[in-house]
Amino acid sequence: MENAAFDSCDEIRKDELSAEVKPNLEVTNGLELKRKVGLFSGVALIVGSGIFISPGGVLQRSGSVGLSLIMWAACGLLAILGSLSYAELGTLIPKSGGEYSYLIDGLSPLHPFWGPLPAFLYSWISVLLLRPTTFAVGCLSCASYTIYPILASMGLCLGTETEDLLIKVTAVLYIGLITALNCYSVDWTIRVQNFFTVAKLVAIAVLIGCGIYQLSTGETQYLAQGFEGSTTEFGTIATAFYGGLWAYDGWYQDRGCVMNNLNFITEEIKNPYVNLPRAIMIGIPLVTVCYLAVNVAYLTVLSPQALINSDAVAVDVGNYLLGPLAFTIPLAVAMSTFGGVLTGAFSTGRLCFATAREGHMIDVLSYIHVDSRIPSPALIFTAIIALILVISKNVSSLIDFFTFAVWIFYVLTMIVLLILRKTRPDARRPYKVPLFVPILTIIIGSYLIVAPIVTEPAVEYLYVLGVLFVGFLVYIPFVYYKCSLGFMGPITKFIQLTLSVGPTLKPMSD
Amino acid sequence: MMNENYNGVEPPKGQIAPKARVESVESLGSKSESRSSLAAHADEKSGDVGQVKFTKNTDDSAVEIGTVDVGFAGMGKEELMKYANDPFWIRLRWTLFVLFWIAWLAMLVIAIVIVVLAPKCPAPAPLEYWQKGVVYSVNPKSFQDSGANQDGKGDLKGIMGRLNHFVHLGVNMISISPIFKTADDEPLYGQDIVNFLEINPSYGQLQDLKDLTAAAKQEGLKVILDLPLNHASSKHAWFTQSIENATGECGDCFVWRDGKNGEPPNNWVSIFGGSAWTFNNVRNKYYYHIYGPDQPDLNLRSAKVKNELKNIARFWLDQGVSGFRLLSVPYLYESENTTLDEPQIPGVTPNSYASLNHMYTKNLDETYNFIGEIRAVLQEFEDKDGDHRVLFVEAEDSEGASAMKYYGDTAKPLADLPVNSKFIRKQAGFTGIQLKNEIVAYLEEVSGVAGWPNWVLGNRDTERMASRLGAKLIDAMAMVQLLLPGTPFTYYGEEIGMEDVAPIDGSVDTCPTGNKLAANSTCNQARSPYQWDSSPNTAGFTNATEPWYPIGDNSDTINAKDQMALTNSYFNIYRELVNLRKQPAVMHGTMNILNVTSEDIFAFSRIRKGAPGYLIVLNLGDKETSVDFSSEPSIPAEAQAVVRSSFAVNETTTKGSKVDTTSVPVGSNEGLVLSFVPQF
Repeated sequence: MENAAFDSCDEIRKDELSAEVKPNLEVTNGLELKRKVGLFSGVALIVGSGIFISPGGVLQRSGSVGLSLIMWAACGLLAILGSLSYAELGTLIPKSGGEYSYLIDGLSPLHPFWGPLPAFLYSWISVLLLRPTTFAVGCLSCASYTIYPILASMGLCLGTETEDLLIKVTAVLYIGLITALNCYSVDWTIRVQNFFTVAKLVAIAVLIGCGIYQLSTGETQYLAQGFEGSTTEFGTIATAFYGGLWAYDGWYQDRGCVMNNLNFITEEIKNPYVNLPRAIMIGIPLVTVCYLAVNVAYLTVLSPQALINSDAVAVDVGNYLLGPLAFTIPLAVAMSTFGGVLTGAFSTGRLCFATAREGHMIDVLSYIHVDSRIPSPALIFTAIIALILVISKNVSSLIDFFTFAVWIFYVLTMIVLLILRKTRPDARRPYKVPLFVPILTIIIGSYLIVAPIVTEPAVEYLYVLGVLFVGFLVYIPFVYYKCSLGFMGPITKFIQLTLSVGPTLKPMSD
Repeated sequence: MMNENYNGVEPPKGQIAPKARVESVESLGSKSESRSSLAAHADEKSGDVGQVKFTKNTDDSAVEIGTVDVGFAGMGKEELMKYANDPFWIRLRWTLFVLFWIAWLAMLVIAIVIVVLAPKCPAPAPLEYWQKGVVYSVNPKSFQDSGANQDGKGDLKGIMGRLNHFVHLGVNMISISPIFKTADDEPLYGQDIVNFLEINPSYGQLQDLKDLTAAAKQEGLKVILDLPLNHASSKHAWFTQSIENATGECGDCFVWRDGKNGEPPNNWVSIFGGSAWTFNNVRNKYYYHIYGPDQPDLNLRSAKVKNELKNIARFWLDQGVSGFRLLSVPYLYESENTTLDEPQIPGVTPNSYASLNHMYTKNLDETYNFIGEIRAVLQEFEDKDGDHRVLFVEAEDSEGASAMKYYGDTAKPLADLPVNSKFIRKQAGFTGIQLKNEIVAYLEEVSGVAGWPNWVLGNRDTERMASRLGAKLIDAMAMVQLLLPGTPFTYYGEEIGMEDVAPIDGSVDTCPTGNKLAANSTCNQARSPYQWDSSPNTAGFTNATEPWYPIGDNSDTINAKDQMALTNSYFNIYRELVNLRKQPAVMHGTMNILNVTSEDIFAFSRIRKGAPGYLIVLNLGDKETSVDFSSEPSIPAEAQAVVRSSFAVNETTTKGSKVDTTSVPVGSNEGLVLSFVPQF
C-alpha cells in the first residue's frame, strides 16, 4: 500500500517534483517536517539518563571495578564507531526514521519481496513493541523518581499496591504531558528538552565535582580494587555491554548501541549535513568522558556492592555527600529521565511516521499536522500503546530480550552501509566513514548477538523470534500484496479531520 | 449545496481553505511561527461553515481517489482544509482537547489525593547512637596504665590516652566498670563503695574523668559509667551513721530488722550462699545484704537514700558522662514484709542462692519504678541539650518477662535496654540449632515488648569468650554479635582474642555474682591487662616493671599492634564487621533466620531494599559442610565473600570471590559473611 495520497493528489506530486529541484526542501507548499533541531539540541538528544540509574549492571556483570570502567570506555568507543557510520547514513539518506529508512533505502531495491522485509520487521517490532515499551518504562522510572523523593521527604509510607498505583498514575500523567507537548510544538519540545539537558549536565558536573573532591581526600579504597574478581566469561561480558550501551542514550529508547535518536529525526535537523555528524562526533565522546568520570565518582563513595544494589546510585551518592542539598539529585534525575522520555517520544513519533509513509504501517500514522507539521497521529498511537503497557504489569521484563532483536537490525544496518557503497557508489556523501568502522562494528555486533544466546539461553529469545515471525505473516498480505481492510477508510478520515493531519511527501533519497 | 464546497476548486464561501494554506506556507519560512494549535484553528474559524456529515466526506473522497486499488486513503491537504474548519470537527476537536485535559487533571487529582491521604510512615524511628553503635566495656584497672604513678594499674588517664583505639575499632560507647572510691585501696570488683561521688584514687581524680569525657566527645565517643546502686560498703559513712543512730537521718538507709527467735528474720540467702542477714551488735538488729556482709543493701524505700542516689546520678552526668549501666539491678528492692520465707526449691542444696524462689527479693515492682525514676533524671539532662543519656541495666540472673519488663513501654520507657545476659552463658559445644533457638527466643521476647535487642559475649564476671568457646569461634561469634539487629557489647580484649589468665600465685577467685553457670568460676582471670603489643611482661599496658596482674602468655600474637598490621586478624575482622554495621541492610534491614538442613549450621540474612544484602553462615560442627541456600527466594545464585574467619582456607570463599549460593563451603567453627543482591 503505497501512500494513496501521493498518487491521488496532483498538487503534492508537483511539490515533490519541485523538491527534487531544490534538495534542501526548505520551501514547499506540501506537508513535510520542519527543521528545528540545531547543534545543541542534537547533542542533547544523545546524553542519556542511564548513568544516574543503573551503572550497577555493568559493574555486577563485569565483576571488577577495573573491568567495568574498561567496559564503559569500550561502550563509548563502540558508540562512537557506530555513530560515525550512522553519520554517513544519516547524511546520505536524510530521512527521519533511523535504521528503518536506511534498511528500506538500502535493501528494498534488491528484491521486491525480501528487500523491504527487514525494514518492515524492524518497524513492526519497534513501533508496536519496543518503543512504546521504552516510552512506558521511561515514564515509569521518571514517575518513581518524582514520587519516591516526595514520599520520603514528607515521611509518607504507602502500601506496595497503592505505591504502584501512584507511580502508574504519575507515569500516565507523564505520558499525557509528553505527548501533548510533542503534539503542541516542536519548538517547545526542544526548549523543554534543552532545559532538562542542562539540568542533566549540571547534575553530571556536580557528581564529577564530588568525585574529584573525594579523590582529593584520598577516597580510593574501592577504585584500588582494580581488576579483582573480573569475569572471564564470554557471554557475561556481552550482557555487561548491553547494560553499558543502554546508558548511552538512544539507549534510553532503544537499548541498542549506536542507534541514537538523532538519526530518527534527520528531517528536522537544521542543516543536517553539517550538524548531524557534528552532533554525533561531539556528543558521544563527551558522553563517554562524562560517564567514565561519573562512574569513578560513584566509586569514591560507594562500595561496588552498594553500587550494584542501589536502585539509584546518584541519589545514594548525593545523600552521602550533599547533605541538605541531597534532594537536588533525585530532582535532577527525574528531570533528566523526563527529558530522556521526551526525546524518546519525539523520535518515536518520527519512526512511526517514517514507517507509515512507506506503507509499512497504517497510513494515518504517517500524517502530519497541516500547520505545525507534527506527526501527531504517530505520537498519539505510541502514547496509547505505552498507556496500555503502563497499566498492564511487568513491562520491563521483556524489554531486554527485544534489545537482542534491535541488535540484529543494527548489524543489518551496518551491512546496508556496505551495500550502499556498492549500489550507490557516486551518491553524495557529505560524510564518509572509514570502511573498517562498519566492518568492525558488524563483528562486535555479531558477537553481542550470539554470545548471550550461547551462554544464557532463555526461552524469551524464542518469543522475540515469534514476534518477528508474526510480523512476517502480516507482511505477506498487507504489505507485499497491499491488501487492505475496508473499514480503515472512514477511520482514517475521521482521524484526519479530528487532528487536522494530512499526508506528507517523501523527501529525496538522493 | 454544501457539496459544492467539497468538490469545487473555488469554494463559494471559500477563503477558508486557501487562507489556511497561505498561512502555513508562510509559517514554513519563519521558525518561530509554529504554534498553531488546535485552539488557534478553532478561534480562527469557529462558526464559519455549516454542518458536514461524515458520510458525505467519505463519498467525496471515494470519488476523488477513484481508481486507486486500496479502498481507503487519506485526504490531501487541500481537501482536508475544506472540511477541517467545519464546526462539527472544530467542536469535536475542542471536546477531545478539553476531555483530554479533564482526564489528565483528574489523574493529577487522583495522584495528589493518594499522596495527601498517604499515612505517615510508622516511623522506623531514626536509630540513635546507642542503637547504631557498639558498646566497648573497659575494666579501668586493666586497660591502660598512664604511668603517672608507676603502680602497674590502669587508670582514667590511660583510657584517655587510648581513645584512638576505640576510634580505630569503630565503637562509639565506652562503658567503664565502677570507678568509685572503695573501702579497699585494691578494688577487686569496685563494688564496696565508700563514696559514690569520688573517684578511686588508684584510677585518678575527678578532673581526669572530666578530661576523659571531654576528649571522648571530641572523638564522637560516649563515656558510660557502670554504677551499682544496690549496696554500699559497710565502711560507707551512711552505714556507720545508720548503726549508731537508728532514729537519725540515715537510720533507715539500710534494711534493718529484728531477728526471729535469735535467728535471722527469714530464710533469705545471699548470692554467695548462707543467710542474707547479718547481726550488728551496736544497732542490735540484722541488716540485709544480697552480697557479702561487707556490702549491705541500701534501703531504697528510704526517701533520703532515693534522693541521694538520684543526686549521685546527676553528679556524674554533670561531669559529662553519657549515661549509666546500672549493676545488680534485680536486687534493688526487697519485700517490705520480712516475715515471709521464700519458697524452697526441692532438690537444690539448701542455703545456696539457687535453692530459693526469690519472689520477695528479686525484680520487685518497686525496682521497675525506681528505674523509671532514674530514667526521669536522665531525661532532665536530655531535655537540656537534646542528647540522649543511655540507661542500660544489668538484670543479672533474670530472663524472660522479668527481664523484658525493664524496657518499660511506650507510655513509660524505663531502661534503654536490659543487658542480655542469656547469650553469655553459652558454653562450648552448642550446635547451630541451639544457637538459632537461643537467638530466636530472645528476639521474640524483645520484639514482644518492642524493645531493642543487644548481644553480650563476655563480661568481667565470666570466662573470656576465647577460653569459654574456643579461639576458633571468635570471628564467627563476632559476626553473629555484630551483624544481628541490636547493640553489641564487646568486653575489652575480645576483639583481639584475649584468653583467661591465671593470677600470679595460681589461685583463682570465686565469682561474686550469679551471672554465670559454673559455680566455681574464676573472675579475675577475665580481667588481665589489655595486650597492646608484644613487649615482654607488660604488653604495652604499663611502663612500671610489674603490671598488677600477669599478662597473658600469648601476647606475642594476641596483641593489638601486631594484629592491626595483619589483614587476617581477629582485630581487623572485628573492625570490618563493625564497619559493615553501617550498611543499610545491617542497620535497618530485616533479619531472617535461614533454613538449613544441617543442625551444625546457623545462618541468617540481613536485607533491605535497594542495598546489598548480607548472608552470615556459621558452621558449629566439627567438619566442613557446604550449605545450599537455593530455597531462599531472596538470595540469588551468586554472592560475594566479604568476611570470613581468620583461619579459613577454602579457596572459593576468599574475600571478594564469587560464591555459588547453592553450595557455600563452610569449615568447622568457621563463620562467613557474603554479600548479595537481594531478590524481591
